[in-house]
Amino acid sequence: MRHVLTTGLVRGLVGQAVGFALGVYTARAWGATDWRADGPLAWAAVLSVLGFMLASGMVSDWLGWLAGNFAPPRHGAPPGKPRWWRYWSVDYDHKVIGIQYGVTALVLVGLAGSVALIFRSELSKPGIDFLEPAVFNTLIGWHGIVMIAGILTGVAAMANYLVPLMVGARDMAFPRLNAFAYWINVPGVVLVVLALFLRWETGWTGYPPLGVQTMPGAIPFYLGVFVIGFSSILGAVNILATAFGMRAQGMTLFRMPIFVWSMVATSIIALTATQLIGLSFVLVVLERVFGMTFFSPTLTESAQALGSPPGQPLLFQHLFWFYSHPAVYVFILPGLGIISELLPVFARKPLFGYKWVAMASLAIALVGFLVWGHHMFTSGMSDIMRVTMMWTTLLVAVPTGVKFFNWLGTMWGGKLTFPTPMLFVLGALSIFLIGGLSGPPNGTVSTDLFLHDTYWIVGHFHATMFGGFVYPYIAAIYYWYPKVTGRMYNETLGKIHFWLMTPAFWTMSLGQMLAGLWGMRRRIVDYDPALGVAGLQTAVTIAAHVIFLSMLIFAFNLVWSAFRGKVAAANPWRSRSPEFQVPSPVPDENYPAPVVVVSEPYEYGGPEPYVVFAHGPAAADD
Amino acid sequence: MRKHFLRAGALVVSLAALLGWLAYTRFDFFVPRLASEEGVVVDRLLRVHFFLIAAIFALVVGFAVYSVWAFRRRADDDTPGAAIHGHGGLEFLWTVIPLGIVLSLSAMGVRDFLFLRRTDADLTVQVQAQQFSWGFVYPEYDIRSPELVVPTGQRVKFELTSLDVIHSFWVVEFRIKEDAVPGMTTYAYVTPRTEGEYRVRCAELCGSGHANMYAPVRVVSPEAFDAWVAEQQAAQQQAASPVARGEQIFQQYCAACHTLDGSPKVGPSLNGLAGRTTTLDDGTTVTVDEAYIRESILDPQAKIVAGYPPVMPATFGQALSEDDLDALVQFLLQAGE
Repeated sequence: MRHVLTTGLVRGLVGQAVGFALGVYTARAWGATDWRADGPLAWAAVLSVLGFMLASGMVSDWLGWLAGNFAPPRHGAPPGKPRWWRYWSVDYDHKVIGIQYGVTALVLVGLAGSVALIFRSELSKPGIDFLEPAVFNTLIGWHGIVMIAGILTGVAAMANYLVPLMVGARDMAFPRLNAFAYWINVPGVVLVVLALFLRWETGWTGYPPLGVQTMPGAIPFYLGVFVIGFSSILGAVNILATAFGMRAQGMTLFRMPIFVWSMVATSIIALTATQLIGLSFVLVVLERVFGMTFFSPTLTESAQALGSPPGQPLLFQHLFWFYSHPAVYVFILPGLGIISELLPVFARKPLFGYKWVAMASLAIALVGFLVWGHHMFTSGMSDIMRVTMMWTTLLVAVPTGVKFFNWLGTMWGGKLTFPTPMLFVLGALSIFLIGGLSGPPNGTVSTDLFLHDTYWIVGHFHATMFGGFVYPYIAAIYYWYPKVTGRMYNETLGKIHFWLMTPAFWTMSLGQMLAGLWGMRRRIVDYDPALGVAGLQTAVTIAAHVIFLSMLIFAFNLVWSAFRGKVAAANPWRSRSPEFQVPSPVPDENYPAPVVVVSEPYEYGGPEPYVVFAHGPAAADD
Repeated sequence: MRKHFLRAGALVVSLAALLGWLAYTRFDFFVPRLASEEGVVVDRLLRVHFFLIAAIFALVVGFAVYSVWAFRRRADDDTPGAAIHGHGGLEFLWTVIPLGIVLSLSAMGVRDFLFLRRTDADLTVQVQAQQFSWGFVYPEYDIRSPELVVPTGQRVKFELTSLDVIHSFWVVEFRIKEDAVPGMTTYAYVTPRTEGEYRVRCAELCGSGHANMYAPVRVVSPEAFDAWVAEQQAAQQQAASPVARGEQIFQQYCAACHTLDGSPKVGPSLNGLAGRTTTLDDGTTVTVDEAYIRESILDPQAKIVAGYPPVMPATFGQALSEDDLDALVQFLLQAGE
């Protein structure tokens, strides 16, 4: 118990509470009557994040530098603390941070999924049964934004754990920045949790003018997302620096493991676009707190006092989607990288068209910047913009198709085996396929006038998210589980997980798409029985519960196997990747000697290994 | 390998034929009733999309399923798979062919979109959206109506505005959708073709009453439309009784969130209001009278009934004329007595 209280997490949360209380107290002292008013709430939220940063220890080393204290990055628990302590505190080992990210992602996805079950149950039949509309609207927004936070941390988990290992490095380029990027998520998520209790009705997109007028939960929602955004930006800097600057000797760009390519493409987006959602959200907060009218055409009293001109609601949507569309490629490119990484292992043959797969990731990332307007096809945006954005949007299908065909080429003529990770890779392929194929009807502006803001869209993006992130992430967890924990997961439970989840997901996805075609709108607490979608809604609700059940089995498997699983071999999948050439779990500092790349990464059956360890003294530049 | 290609190809072709046939011939199963000429154009391209989805799905799934079956590792076979690294010609083909497909889709999209958005119109209807109701103004006839009535065969230009937040004007059977954005006017064009009763449904999350933000739609023959116009114009000449007028206003503006049968919705039920004693969220009680009703419409946040969220829009002072407000108050004073 004594040790629990000294962990960075607990100290940080206490610091956040103190910061928040300080904000409320000072606001009261300055004459505020209600802490839930926009000004006091925003002030307290900002102080609470600073409180977390100071108390958790995430900036201690940097503050130490200011005082002239240049300690080396700390690995492991300090003397007198148990081994688990490092996982709950600031630690600079990329593998520890990767595990912290990974567990956080599972917790966030689990919370957001549980919330989804609540409103899904409300929707299982027409009529408002047990959820007040304002609560329903809050829950759908919370589900969306917490899932996004969960996906971003899940992506960061894979990136942090795998990229340094795959490029043969000892750690990330900037270990302290890496820890900062993880820990900044925690106060951000706490603010988003606060938003749940204070309520806001805009959904995760936060569109003004509703975002300016809705309940006070909007303030911690906008600020929490702003804070979480730092994690993406700083994490991306680190990944790019690591991938470009810390590769092992002999690892040319086209000998990098393909997952590293996908993380490079992802990081380019996260580094350059995340600012836009942060900006748009902060502008709404400024509009609420100071009446600085950016987006609302009708002026508040304070805006009139400032002499502001009317705001423009569409401006927000441009800023918001300039990040939030490319963001979906941040979510899926790493997942597609996992598919490309695992298929050769389980097919025992080279990745088909390696360079095309690598370049397809970059192409998706770059074209992805030019398509945001398809979220605004019915927004009142000018017709010429709509047509332009349709051309660019449909182009994304080309590099995505290239990936699919290369995956088929990789399977063709292989010696396929189907342990749980491979099952999830194949599941990802099938689900991402229907997610991708349901895209062009909404990407084409004329048909989107019909499909926009319907359940067709809900089905489409849940399929892309499950196929592009959830399934690959689960595959990655099963695949690297022995490497991370030193023990094997339970194969039977893994297969039960897959065979429950996949038919349920297909039911859910097709049910959602069909309901949308029949006229079911998004984000409604109640629907018209005349549409005939009640049966579909019931089926979707049941399927969602089955998915949740399968995820519980997954969680049980992960926890149980960590203690009781069979001890894992160093290389249970006979992979050529460098992290599988060292014992499980991966030792501190990763590799016994500098890694030297001597052949191609996926040359299964080839005479040479991918990497060898250089013996003798370390190279001078190491 | 040739044998495998032939078998996988046969699987793909039969799967594509089955799915394509379903997508094309059973199209009506997938889409709702159609009631506009513009919808015909939308559905036509949607059908092409469905056909392509079926074909590409069959291609990928056919090859994947075949590989899973034919290239599964046999017991005790420890040899690696075929050492294939790629194929430049194939890469070229599966880049260029999809590129051709999406460029063609885009071209069809442009063709259809320009057709849908052409600016000729026979009739103009101004659509005024606000939380959580729709109002329809026919400037050519000087009519204001809570119900959208449009004639078949005439291209209607909808001029959309919003008083408060973003809403979206959508009639499922018309297919076309367009946001109503405060501070600007947006446009949608629809040529109704099938007589019947439909609904406007708000398609952009706009607050607590969003789900029930409906307005009735009637598509009628041109003759019936002319009769309706004459009737409306006559009705607006002779003032209806305030209570009847008030009920109409209630149905248009209030019914998305309030009932008259005692059951709560987004807000409290409004039957038997006059003289009722209501508990407010700060614990005080208030007796409902005309002044209280008037205040609750014009400044809804002033007093909040306990147990309900403070989400009622404050825009009704703008939306309702002085006479309309009086009529609504008169109606509410006697409703459910």
